[in-house]
Amino acid sequence: MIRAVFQHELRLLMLRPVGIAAVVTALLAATYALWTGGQHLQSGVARAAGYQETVNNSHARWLETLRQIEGGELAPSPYDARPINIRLPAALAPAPLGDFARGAYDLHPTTATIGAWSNAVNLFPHYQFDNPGLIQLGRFDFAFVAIVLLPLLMIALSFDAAASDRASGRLRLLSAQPIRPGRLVLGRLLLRAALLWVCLVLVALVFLLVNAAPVGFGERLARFGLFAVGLSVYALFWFALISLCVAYIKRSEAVIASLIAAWAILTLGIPGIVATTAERLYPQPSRLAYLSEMRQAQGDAAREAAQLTAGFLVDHPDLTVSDEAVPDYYRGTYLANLEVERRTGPVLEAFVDARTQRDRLIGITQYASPAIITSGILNAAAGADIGRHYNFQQQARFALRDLSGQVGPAIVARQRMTTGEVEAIPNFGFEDQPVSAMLAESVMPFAYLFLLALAGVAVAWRRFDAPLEVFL
Amino acid sequence: MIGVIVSKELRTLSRNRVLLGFTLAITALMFVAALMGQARVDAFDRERADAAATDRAVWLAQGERNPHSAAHFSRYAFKPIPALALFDPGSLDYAGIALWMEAHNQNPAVYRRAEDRSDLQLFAELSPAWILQVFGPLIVFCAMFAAMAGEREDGTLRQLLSIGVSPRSIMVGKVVGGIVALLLIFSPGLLLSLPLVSQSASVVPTADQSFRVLSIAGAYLMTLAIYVLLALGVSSLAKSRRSAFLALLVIWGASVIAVPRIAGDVAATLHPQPEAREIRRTLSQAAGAYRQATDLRERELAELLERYNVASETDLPVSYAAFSLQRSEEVAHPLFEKIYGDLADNHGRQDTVLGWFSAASPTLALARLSAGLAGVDRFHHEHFVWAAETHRRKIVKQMNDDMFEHAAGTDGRYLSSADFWETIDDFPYRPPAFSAFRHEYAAAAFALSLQLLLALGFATWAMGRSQKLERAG
Repeated sequence: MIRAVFQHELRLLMLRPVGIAAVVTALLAATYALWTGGQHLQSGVARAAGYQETVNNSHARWLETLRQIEGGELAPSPYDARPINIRLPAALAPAPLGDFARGAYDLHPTTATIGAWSNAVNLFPHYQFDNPGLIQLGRFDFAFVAIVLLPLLMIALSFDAAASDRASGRLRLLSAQPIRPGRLVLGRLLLRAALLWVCLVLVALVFLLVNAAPVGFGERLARFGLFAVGLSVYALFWFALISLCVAYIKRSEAVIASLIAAWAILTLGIPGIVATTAERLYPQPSRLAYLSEMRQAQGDAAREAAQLTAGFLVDHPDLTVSDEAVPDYYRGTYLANLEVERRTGPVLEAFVDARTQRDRLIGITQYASPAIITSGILNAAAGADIGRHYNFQQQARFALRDLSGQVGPAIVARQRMTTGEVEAIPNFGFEDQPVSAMLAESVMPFAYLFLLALAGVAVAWRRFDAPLEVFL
Repeated sequence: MIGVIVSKELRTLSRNRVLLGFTLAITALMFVAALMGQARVDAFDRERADAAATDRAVWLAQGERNPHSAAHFSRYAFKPIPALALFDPGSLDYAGIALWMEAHNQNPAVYRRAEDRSDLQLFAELSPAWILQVFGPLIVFCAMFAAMAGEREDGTLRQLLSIGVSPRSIMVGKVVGGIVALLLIFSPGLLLSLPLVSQSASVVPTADQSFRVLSIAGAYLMTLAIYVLLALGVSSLAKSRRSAFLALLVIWGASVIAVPRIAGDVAATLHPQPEAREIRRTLSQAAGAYRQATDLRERELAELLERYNVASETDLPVSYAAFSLQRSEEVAHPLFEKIYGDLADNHGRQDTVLGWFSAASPTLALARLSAGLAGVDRFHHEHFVWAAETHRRKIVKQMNDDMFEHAAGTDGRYLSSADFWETIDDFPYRPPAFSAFRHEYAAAAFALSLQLLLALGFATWAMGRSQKLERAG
């Protein structure tokens, strides 16, 4: 009987313009988002690889020159194979599931050249060439479809699941059947929500295979698992909320008004308020003050080059300064960068502190909005969260600090490093947050959202299962 | 009769508890947003002033230094924050705020404030403009969905027509009633926010600013009127309140939530942003173009020797190094203009795509117009960038000229005196008046005007049709 009712409901739904429009919209939106996401993933990976190849080739030429000088095949000039010119690439490609969400990928630096010409402030070469108006609009990615559009489509498809039958008296007629009308309405809601969920998951599964890179499919699959669970729990929450409204509010326009108000508050209002409050309570240090600190350090270092050199040599008594005619600005730039690192270090720490405090606040307040919980999980699974960008920047700065420590003595002493010493310098490799760590971070919010949804369904179920007089 | 209908509409709306709740929420949200906006604008303004003061102090404290070394260190240009950014921050946070006016290179503006934001602000941005753009149409639809559908469902429309009320009076009464109600809904928030605007440190009343404020008010009013007329039209055609509300919500979801994002995505897909690495490569080539042009350098050296009537570079009474440094700047200028011009053209093409999508979304057209009027869009940013580039060329030339005149025969060891740095001007930036590029906004203003006319036509047609059916039925 229930099966027959479900089949009838499905047929009925697919004959209604609203049903067809909702399903087609979900399919089209998901397909478009993942298709453009696939292009983003491919181009991002290619760009990162291209950058690494270019810088690596340049480093290989530098190393070859050093070998030739060591082998006596090349008469060295003051500029050849100097350690200040060692440059190693650091690049951040989109994560293996980067086609599912873009997040702030267009906003942050994704490449850096690790070398002693740079310091922590100017490590990332200029990347701010994009159209600001376009970045502001954001991208139509699959995470946006899931978090923002899916609930709207679910509301549009389900808000009148009971009201129209209540108004027409059809629900009373149904009481003559061997099934409680409330249960029928709940089944109808489940069917409609499931239909949209299946549409999104099916399209996602297709593009999971279509957009897959030749390597890293295992990690892509693991990330997709997390993404799919996040999407499903979020859909379950909205199913519960819609069920509650349909169960307790009788007029359909009141149902849809309440649901839209809830959607606007939970998806736009609370995230906006939380973000703005976090920014206000824990302001980041001024970037301009950071810049000023660098400028002051550079200005001072330019004037005090002799003292800085003397200080460095006192700290490294084993160094023998060569009498080779090496340009003075090599040493001057290196020492100025050391000074910049020393002076701007506390500002960078203040950035990290403010970010940590903000994340802590968002971590607590996320429970006020399922959209915050879900966007955190989906963006992390897709590697589109801002945290990943900050990690890249921090790891690149650490790599620069390590390299600087290795090449510094030779720069100040106007010496060359040996091929062996240069080859011992490790290449930069970005360490992404493992999926297990993301899962561990997501367990509490997941569990909360899941339990909240279950509680909502349980309360709605009580109402749906109530005697006809109460439900009507 | 129109007055009666207007007062009846207002009475009905005042009894709507959901709407009253919305009004309170919007008032509170607008006030908080304006408060935070004011704090941000004032804080950013202070940061900018501090940074400019430090930059000047560091510059003046250089002591004796080679002018070319100083030109590499150079100065920074800092972008001022327009006062109206507290109402609409537009793309202000997505464009750089500091520009390094370094010798040899035309750099982009760096330090985009949006880079310091959390993931949450990618969805929602709490500013008075954002609240009006996103929630304004929603409130219009919540207030107006039953305007005609409800009258018909309750049978009151037929009664009105039967007592001789003209369809035109009904329409005018409903539209005026809707707009007055909306003004009442949004006024408390705006009125509470106004003192904040006037208190903001960066507000300097000028004719331009007054024009901008009035135009912003006009643009928002026009957009709300479009949504009121749309609501009235849809409500007239819908069979019931329920279907009217559903149809209006679909329109809201599409035009306010989906279309702007899709527009941005399509614009970026059709006219992709060139890779930053490629732009850096061409900029670097441009900066080194003179060094690569051996024939040109040799010819110019010969001309210089001839002008000073000497046989070799070392005999010159002026610095040949400074001469070639300045020439390398001048040779690079048109190349930089081409590179950044191509980039701006590409951004212009992207904006054209947004313009086409604005036809389907009054909110998108309004957002572009509002950001332009608030002085926080791409055009205003590019104005700052080019003003900084003009200044860069000027100060780098000042330093090259100093070297040209004094560094001859010093074997590259010439040092300018400590007081020379005082003669290098600060960056004297004045943000442009709106009239400087109002033509850039003509399309968005035209789109809004056309949408208003179309919405008026649609509402008139829909109400006429509905009343005809009502009379016939």
